[in-house]
Amino acid sequence: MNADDRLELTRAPIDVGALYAWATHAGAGGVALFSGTARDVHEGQSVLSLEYEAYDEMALASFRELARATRARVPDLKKLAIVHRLGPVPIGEASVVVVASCPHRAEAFLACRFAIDELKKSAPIWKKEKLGEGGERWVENKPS
Amino acid sequence: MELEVRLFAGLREALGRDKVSVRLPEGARVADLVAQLAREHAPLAPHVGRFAVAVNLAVASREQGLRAGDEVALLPPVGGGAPGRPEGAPR
Repeated sequence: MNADDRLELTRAPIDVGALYAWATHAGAGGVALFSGTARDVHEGQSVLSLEYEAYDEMALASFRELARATRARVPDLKKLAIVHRLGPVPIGEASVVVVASCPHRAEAFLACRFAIDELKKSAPIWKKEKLGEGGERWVENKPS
Repeated sequence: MELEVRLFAGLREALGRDKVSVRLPEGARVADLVAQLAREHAPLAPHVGRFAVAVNLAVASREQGLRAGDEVALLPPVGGGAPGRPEGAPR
C-alpha cells in the first residue's frame, strides 16, 4: 500500500480534524474533504439512527483498489484518506470521510469526488436505518 | 467439496446466522452454489437474483468455477447515500 494512503474501517467516531491534519502536505495547495453524515430523514421517513455493516476484508481490498484508481486518475494526488465507520452511527455524525490533498484545488475536488462516488458503488458496506415510526430497513444504493 | 459461505446484512438476518456451509460436486460454478443454497435455505430463494457472489474478495460471475478453500460470500446490493443529481441534469 502507498504510504500516502490511509484506508481504514473503524467502530469509533471518526476524528475528521485528525484526518485533515494528516492529509496536509507541503506540496499540496488544496485539501478537499468530504464527510458523509447520518441524516434524520430518508425518502420522507424519519430516521432515528443508522448502522453500518461491512465485509471487512473485501471492503479494505476495495479501498486499496479505489486508491489505486484515484491515483491513476489524479496523478498529482499527494495524500488520500478513506475512512468508514461501522456499527451504530448517531444522526449528525460522520459515517464516511474522504480527504484528498493535491497541488491545486481542482484536482483535490476531483480526487475526493471520484473516491467517494466509487466507494458508494463498489465497497461491500451496508446501511440499516432505524425508523422513527418503528421498524428498521436495509437501504440499497440508488443508481442516480 | 464443502465451502463456507459468509452472509451479510439482510441475508444474514434472513437466515439468522453469518455463515452457512454447502456441499458441491467438483467443478461446480457459482451458479450451482446459488441454486444449491436456495434449495437448502428457503429464506434465500426470493433474493437469488438480487445478490452478488464474492469469491476470494472479488465479485464473481455466475459462470466462475469454484475450488475447495475458496472464500465465498453473498453480497446484497450495497448501501450508502445517493450521489444526487449529476451536474447539468434536467430538473
